[in-house]
Amino acid sequence: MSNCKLSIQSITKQYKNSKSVALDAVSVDVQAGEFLAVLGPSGCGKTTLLRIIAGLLPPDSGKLLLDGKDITTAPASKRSMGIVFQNYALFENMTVLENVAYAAKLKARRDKSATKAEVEQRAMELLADLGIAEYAKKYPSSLSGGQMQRVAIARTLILKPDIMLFDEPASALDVATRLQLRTVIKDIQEKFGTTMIYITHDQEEAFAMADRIMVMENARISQIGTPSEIVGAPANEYVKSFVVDNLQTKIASLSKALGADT
Amino acid sequence: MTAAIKKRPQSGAWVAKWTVAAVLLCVVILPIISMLTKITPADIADVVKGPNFGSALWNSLCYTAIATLIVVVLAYLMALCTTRVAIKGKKLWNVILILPMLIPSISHGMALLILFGQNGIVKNLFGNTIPIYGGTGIVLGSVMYALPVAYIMLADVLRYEDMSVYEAAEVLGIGKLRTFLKVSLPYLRKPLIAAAFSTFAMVVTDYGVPLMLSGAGNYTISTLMYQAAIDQQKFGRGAVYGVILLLPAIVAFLADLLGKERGTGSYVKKAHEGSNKPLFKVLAYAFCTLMAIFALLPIAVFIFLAIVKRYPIDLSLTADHFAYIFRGQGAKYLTNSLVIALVTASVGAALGFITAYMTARMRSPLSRGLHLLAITSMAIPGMVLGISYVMTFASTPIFGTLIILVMVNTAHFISSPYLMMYNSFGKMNENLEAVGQTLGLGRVRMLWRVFLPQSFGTLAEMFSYLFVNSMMTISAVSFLANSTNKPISLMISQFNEHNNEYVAVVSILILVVNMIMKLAVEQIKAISARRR
Ligand SMILES: Nc1ncnc2c1ncn2[C@@H]1O[C@H](COP(=O)(O)OP(=O)(O)OP(=O)(O)O)[C@@H](O)[C@H]1O
Ligand SMILES: [Mg+2]
Repeated sequence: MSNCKLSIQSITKQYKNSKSVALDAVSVDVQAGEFLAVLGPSGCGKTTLLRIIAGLLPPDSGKLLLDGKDITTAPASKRSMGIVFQNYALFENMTVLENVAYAAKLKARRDKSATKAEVEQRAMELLADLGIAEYAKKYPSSLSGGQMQRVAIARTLILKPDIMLFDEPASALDVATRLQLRTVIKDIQEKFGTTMIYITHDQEEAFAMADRIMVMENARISQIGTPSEIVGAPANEYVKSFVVDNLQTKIASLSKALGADT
Repeated sequence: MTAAIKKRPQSGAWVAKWTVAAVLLCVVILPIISMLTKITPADIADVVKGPNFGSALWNSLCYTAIATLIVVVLAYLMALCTTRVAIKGKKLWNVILILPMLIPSISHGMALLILFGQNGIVKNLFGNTIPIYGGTGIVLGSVMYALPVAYIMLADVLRYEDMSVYEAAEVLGIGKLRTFLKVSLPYLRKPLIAAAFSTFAMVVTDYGVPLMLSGAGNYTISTLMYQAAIDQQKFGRGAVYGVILLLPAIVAFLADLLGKERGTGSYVKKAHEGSNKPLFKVLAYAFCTLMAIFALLPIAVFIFLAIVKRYPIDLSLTADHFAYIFRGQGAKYLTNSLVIALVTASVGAALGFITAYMTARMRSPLSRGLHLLAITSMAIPGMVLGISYVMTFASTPIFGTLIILVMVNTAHFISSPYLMMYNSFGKMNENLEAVGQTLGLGRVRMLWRVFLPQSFGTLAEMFSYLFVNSMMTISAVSFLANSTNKPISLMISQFNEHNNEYVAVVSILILVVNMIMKLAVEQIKAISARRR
């Protein structure tokens, strides 16, 4: 493909203490600047795929190409990827600003690319972009879930990653905060043009955010397509019931409620 | 195309883990093995055919069983008072109730002698006293120093019991008694068993109390071991007694291991607010006061004896006894103790921290072995560890120095602080390493800048545990100390009933040092908690 950022080729993984495979020859090409949602039920292998992409877990076989370069065995720190987890994983002993600036400061010192003050300046700008500048001097434990997740996003953004990986970043948040976070993430994608791979088990979230959706079941890909392709032509019975019917139920109950209201 | 992916080498981690494993093997396991191999059949015959063996075995079992029963019941009641009743000043009660933990067991034995002995305070005041030599005194003394440990265990469990279960039971209309039988007891069964086993192991292996109070002929296995190994220097025989003492400790260890299997992982959805019923409050205040008196009695006696000229002849105040201790070897032995305790606490906390990091945050089959190794020392009584050190290191240059005392104390006390850190690491976010890797922060940097700063509270607690225990231990060190490296706690056994003042002074010194340490740690914990 012309504009392929990340090529995932036939990745297979089986955990040592497990009888079944967690990923079975998964292949997909992610386009530059694309928002790819990975949608699937619990245990289908989403997190495993993300950890392999990030370099946190070696695959048993298969290949990963980043801009055409083989990164299958490259260490996580050399992949130019950032990862955001459901449970934030912030450094609780550091302030919000330190959380965001720490890794970037070290990097800047290593390759003498910027001064400490410049890095902090940039961190503050990012915090402002994400609407949490006022918490710069606070410790994570005094923030709400949505605020902590923004800190986690800023912490990866500051290293200007090629690809941002999200593992159910909104699952621990309440509905209103979840909707806000969606906007924040989409704004970032627009502003920085970052390629994003976003894991979720929420059909609606996938449809609202993604350019393309990859539906998984049981260690395999069931279908990859744009939201309209998936609704228009579900590849099989599973995609139809897990994605399309699910959404339709939601729409039905919503319109019923709205109809009753007005 | 689907060639297998080569794993990145992990040799650094592997070497680090084996290094720690080797250290633990050398200070805990190897000495015990070496001791076991040096026991001869003649030693066994000597011990088993000894004139007092049968009665000592019987005494040990009886005294310990009775003491354990009393300890568990009292500790449970105390824990109920401080966790289930809304009494005021819980912090203060807690401090008072655990004070006896800060002085050596032998001090408790001595306090009972001073109070109830033939020349004791009670005899003096009332002209009569209870027979304190033998079973009564040994049981009483054992209860005194073992009670706080069991209390802490049970209060912890009760504090973290989820009360929403009780609310659910009430809503469902399940009766109080039924709820107690079906909810409270099953929840408490394992902690109670674990508390009973560890109390049993602690009491049966202690020689401090029976040494003071056994009187004529009331031997226990631990005093026979003390006689054989320390008075007669017959280490082979001592080791045989040691093996006998090892058995209950191993059973306690296994019981504790099984007890911890379940029960963890549940978190408090709703904590207990404490009953406000007037009857319960009155009962709780009365019981806590009684227990507080029991806890403070020996300390009060020591303070009194230490500052009056000569009880009961001359009650004028004096600092002479302190001066006497410091004029003699006291200053030197106190310094020894402080050095041993500080170094043990530093080394032990560092070792515990690193080991816990490896087992909790770098999981692999090797980690599991390392974890077992790190908690094994809990199963080895101090006396047994001490005699195994004599038999293993007697001809090495470290023998007779402070180094071997630091070593034996670290080996003896490492398990609990290790577990504190292990649990604390287990609670930290499981994705921190992953985040570090993607941000280009290496393991060492993450350890230094993220995990260590988040562990200050736990490290302070580990440090204090190791320090306090090193200050007051008399078990392992009694086999390894001589006149140059002796810690101050061992001074107590060199005095007798006729110079109680000095026992009092030494006990108070140990208590004061330990209290300062405890206060300092509380302060540090408060500061590190406030920072976030
Ligand atoms: N460390 C591990 N060891 C063994 N098996 C594992 C491990 N991690 C995951 N698995 C198994 O691999 C399969 C895929 O797990 P994975 O975490 O990738 O699922 P997931 O799609 O992210 O699920 P969820 O939505 O619950 O997060 C599951 O069957 C899981 O039980
Ligand atoms: Mg997952």
